[in-house]
Amino acid sequence: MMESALVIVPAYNEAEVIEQTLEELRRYARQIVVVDDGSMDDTKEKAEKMGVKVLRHCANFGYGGALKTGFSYGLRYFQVPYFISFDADGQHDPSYLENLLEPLLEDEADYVLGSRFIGTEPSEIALARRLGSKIFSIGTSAILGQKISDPTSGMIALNRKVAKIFTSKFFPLDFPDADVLIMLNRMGFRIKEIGVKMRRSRRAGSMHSGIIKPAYYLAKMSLSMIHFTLRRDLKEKRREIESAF
Amino acid sequence: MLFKQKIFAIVASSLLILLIALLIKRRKLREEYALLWLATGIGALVLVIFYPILVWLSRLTGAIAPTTTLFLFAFLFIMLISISFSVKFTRLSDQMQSVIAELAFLRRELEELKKEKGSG
Repeated sequence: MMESALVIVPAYNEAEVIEQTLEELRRYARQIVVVDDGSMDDTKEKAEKMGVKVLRHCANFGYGGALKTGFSYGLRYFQVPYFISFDADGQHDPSYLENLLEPLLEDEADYVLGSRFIGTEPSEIALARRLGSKIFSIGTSAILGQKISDPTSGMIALNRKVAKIFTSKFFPLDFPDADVLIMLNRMGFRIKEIGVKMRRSRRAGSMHSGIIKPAYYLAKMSLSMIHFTLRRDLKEKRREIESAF
Repeated sequence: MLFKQKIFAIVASSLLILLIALLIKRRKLREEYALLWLATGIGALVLVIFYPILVWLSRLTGAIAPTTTLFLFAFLFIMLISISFSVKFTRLSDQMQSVIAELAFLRRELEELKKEKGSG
């Protein structure tokens, strides 16, 4: 099953944990590409030692930028029908990858989101993050008319059609989250959530720590959500992007 | 408008036009980025020299003093310039991301070729 997917691992200064993450991931995935987003430590060298392909950005471009590079690379160099995004910090549990792919294989969805809030096993999530996720969950579910419990999850699986959209200018370069779900919904893609278990990050510090970054994230994400909600031409844009390939 | 105010406005806008022209000449500023700046300088100069236009614009906007109109238009132009820069930054960051991605692909290909050559 996992032969049909390319796993993209965006990484920035993850030298401490990348080997452990890849060691675990390799037990479940055959094709892995690490996108080193201009790390200042030896993330690239450590990932290469693990025998996976590594792409290195010569400058730091953000999580979305690294994912965009991964999708572009996958579309150009791999014939796989599916892509999975997997965090380098050890938060994601690779034993759920097959579950994530299943709705794509069954053609039930174009985009599958791993949710920490579905299922019986509770994930370890910091309170601030849980609260942020809840706020965006309410907003996104209302806009989509479909229950989305974890719109900020980074554990996603998608088909080639969605990957093409993600290499366009519509894909955010910083944090692609709830706004991307609204964009895909408005473009006519099918979204499905499945339950996954996530762990605390293996290393300290996160984008969500401090005051300024989360406040910026909240403001930027809200604006982006409003933008995609109000647009009426996204189906047309989808056709334009698809025909450009 | 007081004579002193008029002289100051003429000197300031002339200096702005001169500075922009000099920057273009030295290729430190491209013509496409200079257009709005030049429009600001020339616009201010025209309004000060042809005073009745400034008075007419003041009546149109409801401003009491013509100097307020001058500042208002200067402020609007600067806002327009800032927005145009933000638009250009957005386009540049998209283009830069594509270049960085291409560079990463090429580096990867080069490394693979070197490895193949080394083992072969």
